[in-house]
Parts: sequence; structure tokens; C-alpha cells
Amino acid sequence: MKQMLEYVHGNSIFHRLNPLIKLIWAFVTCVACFISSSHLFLLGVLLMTIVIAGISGVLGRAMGVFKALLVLGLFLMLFQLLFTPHGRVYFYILPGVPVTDLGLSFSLLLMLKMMAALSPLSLMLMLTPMNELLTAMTHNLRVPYRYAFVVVTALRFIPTFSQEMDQIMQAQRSRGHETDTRNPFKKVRVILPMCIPLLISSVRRVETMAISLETRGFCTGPRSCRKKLGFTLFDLLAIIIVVAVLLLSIAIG
Amino acid sequence: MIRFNNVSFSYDNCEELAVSNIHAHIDRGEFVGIIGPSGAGKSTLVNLINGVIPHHLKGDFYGEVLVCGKDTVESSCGEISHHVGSVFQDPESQMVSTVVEDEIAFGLENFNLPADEIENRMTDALKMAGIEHLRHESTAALSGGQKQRVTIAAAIALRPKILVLDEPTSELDPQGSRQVFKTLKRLNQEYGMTILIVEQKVMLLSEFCSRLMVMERGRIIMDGPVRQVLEHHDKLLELGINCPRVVTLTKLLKNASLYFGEFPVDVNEAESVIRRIMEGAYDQYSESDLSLQ
Ligand SMILES: Nc1ncnc2c1ncn2[C@@H]1O[C@H](COP(=O)(O)OP(=O)(O)O)[C@@H](O)[C@H]1O
Ligand SMILES: [Mg+2]
Repeated sequence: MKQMLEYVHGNSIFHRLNPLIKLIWAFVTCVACFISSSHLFLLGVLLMTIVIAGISGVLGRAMGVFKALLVLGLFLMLFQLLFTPHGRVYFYILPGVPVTDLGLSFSLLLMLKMMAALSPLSLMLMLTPMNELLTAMTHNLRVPYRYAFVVVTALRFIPTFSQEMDQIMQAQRSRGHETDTRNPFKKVRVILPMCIPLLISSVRRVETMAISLETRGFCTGPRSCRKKLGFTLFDLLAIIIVVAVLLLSIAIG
Repeated sequence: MIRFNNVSFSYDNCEELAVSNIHAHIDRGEFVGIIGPSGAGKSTLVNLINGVIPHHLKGDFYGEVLVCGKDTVESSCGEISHHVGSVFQDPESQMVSTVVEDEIAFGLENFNLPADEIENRMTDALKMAGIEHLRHESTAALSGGQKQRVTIAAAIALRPKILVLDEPTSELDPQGSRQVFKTLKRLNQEYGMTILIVEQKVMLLSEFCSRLMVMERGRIIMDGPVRQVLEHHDKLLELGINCPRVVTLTKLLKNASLYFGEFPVDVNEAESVIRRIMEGAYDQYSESDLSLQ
């Protein structure tokens, strides 16, 4: 989880792209993928995401994201497959539960949709430093600083909590609790009781952070920004491509 | 600079007073060490200065705390933050950013400083804290000690008139702790920054601070120049504070009537004391002292 949303330092063209453009790219692609019902278009978007990840040097990380999305997608696909009785029947998985051509195409579409729509969001977070994201939100999109800060801070706490969870798990394991299990139902039963200590410690952490914010002049007046984020020719090019992708998705349908 | 007028405070969910009847006056440019067993009220004392009490942590507040002449109850936490920089005990949860650089720039941007000024101060603070190489690192990947250095850098970048630090070296190795103290001493001498530091390592306090406060059960039981406080070696030991070995050694020398001067506070001073003893510099004193008995 933590590796999917964390910024990876780098200096590629995509790293240097204006954060606003990246934000727009991620959201527009997301929307376009939900509009589209073309397998080919979705595959194209997915391919584009992979290429961007490759050029930016975060392919390894991105592959982790694709893998996780694929697992989730396969689950979704299975459900969709079992609950679409229309179309030409290929065979019966269980008595009365057919696998049809429509079901197959539909569930594949769903899976592709999810992967193509969500991976750009994750990639955007990998390629954009938090503070640039914050600047784009507050300066360009006019989101009040307070609210933009909340969004970004939620992301900042992910590694903290995952570290804490690991620690609690280890503590449990050292007391002889079994925490390694492949059975998802058992896993839930193992993890649920650990959520309480996690919750308590996170409340405390958030409190300390609120204090730290306050003693460092958070929201006491106008705020400056140390990086000027300009637009380059490449930003222009990028926005044209993004718009083209959106139009294409509408055209293909 | 800082004045406590008969201050007592108890937290909302706790009957007992966390600090009681605090009278103290800290002048501009002092470097004060605060020591005492855990639960003695050290953190509470520090939080009374930076306005966290009473603005964030609620409770019953008696007396008044004046920081730069202003009552902390009357000014907001944000106003106080312009004069007082703070470093808290837990380095992990006081960090607000995912990247070291952003963490240091955070306060500077809040204070609406121009971009080039931010850049200068950031470079300066990173250098002072000895973490230039971590500038672009993710804060999540740092060790506890590195996180502590980042929080210190973030505080000194703001160049506050007063800097309060609550056990800022608890996760650092001895060498790292020493370096932090050296940096603080420099800030204290070059900028006249008033510094209050809560610290368990008494050796470092005695070497770098000009004044030592010892707290126990919510009270300041000793307060004065380092050497003077260290003379109450037995009382400190009672509180579980191991005096620096040079002090223990000097005590033994004094008990054996070999030395009568001031307490040395570091190894160099102790060395010169012992050299002089060996050269017989105090022989006359010991004879006259003996003849008195
Ligand atoms: N947030 C809090 N709420 C309630 N009681 C607290 C809180 N923080 C500290 N205390 C109590 O106040 C007393 C002094 O604590 P503290 O100032 O943290 O001591 P120290 O920093 O010297 O270890 C302790 O008895 C502690 O239990
Ligand atoms: Mg404390």
C-alpha cells in the first residue's frame, strides 16, 4: 500500500511536468476510462501508463501497483462473470451458473476499466512531490490551504500507520499469535483486534501533529511558496495529448 | 525573556498538579538544561512556554507565564510561534511532510518568507543539523536519530528568539547527541538564541549549558549555574541522575581532602585539576585544612 502512493525522487520529464497538468492528466484519464467501453481504448491507456512509468524510471514500483490492481480486478471479474447470465453460453461452472460470451467480455471490460482508471492516479502520486501537489491545489485550483493540507496529510500518514501495524503484528507474533495466514477470512479475524491499538496510537499521533502544526505557524496568515511552478512547452504538449485522449474516449464510446 | 509567576497546572483528566508553584526567570541568551526523573513535569514546563498549554492541552492553569513580555494565555499559539521554536519528544508524529526538504520549508512558508530567503535558511539549517545529504530523502525512510535531526533543523530554520527542545537526542548515538549540543551552543553564542533543553544525558548538559534546572514531582528543586547544582551530587543520585564521572571523581578527591576548588564540568577541566593535584598545587591547603581539624 505505502509504495503505491509514495513519491519517488527523480528528474525525468514527467517529474518536471507542472503538477497541475499531472493532476488533470490523472483525473481526465480516470474519467475517460469510466466513460469508455472499448477494450482497445482501455488497453491503450494502460499501455500509455506503462510507457510513462518506464520513462520516469518507476517501472518496478508501477508493476507492483499493476499486480495489486490485477488481483483486485480478477476478483471483480469473477463476480461479474458469475452474475451475467445473458449471451451465448460457453459452459456451466456450477449447475445453473453459466459462463457466457457477453459475461466474459463485460467482466474483462470491468477489470481493464479499473486498472486503466486507477493506475494513472497512483503514478501521478509517484511522480509528483507532495508540496507541488499542494501548490497546484491551492494556487491553481483555489482549494483553501487547510483542506488541501488535509488531503496531502492523509497520504503522509500511510507509511506511519503501516509501520505501526507491522510493529503491532510483530508484537503479537512474539506472544505466539498466529498472524501469517493465506485464508482471507482468517486474516480478517487476525487483523481486526489489532486495529484498536492502531486506532489509539493514531489518535495520539494526530494530536501531536496538530500541536506541531500550531507551533510552526500553520494558517496564521498569508503563506508563501518556495517553488515557482511555471508552464513549459512540454506542459502544453501534455495537455493537448490529455484532451485528445478524452475526445478519443468519447468518440469511440 | 521568559518569566514564570507562581505557575501551577493540572491536566484535565488528572487530579494531581503536573507542575506546581513554579517561579523562574530566564534571561535572553541563557542556555538552560532541564533534568529530572520521568513524570517530573519537564515536558509540561516546556509546553507552558510555547503556548501548547493552555491553547492545546487543557487543564487548570494558575499563575502566569510571560514570554517576551506577553502573557501566553492572551496571545494565540500562532503568535507565540513567531518567537518560540519547539522540538517535541516524538520525532515521528511531529513531522508534517513526506520529504525532508519540505519539512524544513513548512514553517518558513507559513511565515510567508520570500523564496530565496527560504532557500538560504533551509541550506543553513540542513548544514547545521548535519543532514545536507538527507535533503531529498523521504521522511518515512529515516532512522529515529535522523528524524530527530530533521525536527531540530526545522526548528532552527525559523530562527526563533527562544528555542525549547524536549529530549531531542533520545534516539541519537552519543556522537550525534554531542553534535546537536554543539550546534545549539553555536546558535546560543552567535545569534544570542535563548535555549531550554530537556535532556537525560547529564554529561552533555554540564558541558554545554550555563544553567541547570532539576525537577522533581512538578517542582523545580534546584536551579542555578551548572557547577553549583552539580555540587548536590548526592541529591541528584537520589533522583536517579548519575552525575558525570568527573563530578563523582572530584567528589572523591574532595572527600579525601585532596581538592577544594570548583567542580570541573568536562574531561579537560578534570584533567587539569588532576595534573595540579599530582604536581602538589593543593598540598598546602590540605595541610592547613587538616590542622584546622
Ligand atoms: N496530556 C496529558 N494528560 C494528562 N496528564 C498528563 C499529560 N501529559 C502529562 N501528564 C501528567 O503530568 C505529569 C508530568 O508529565 P510530564 O510533564 O510529561 O513529565 P516529564 O516530561 O518530566 O516526563 C505526569 O504525572 C503525567 O502523568
Ligand atoms: Mg517528557
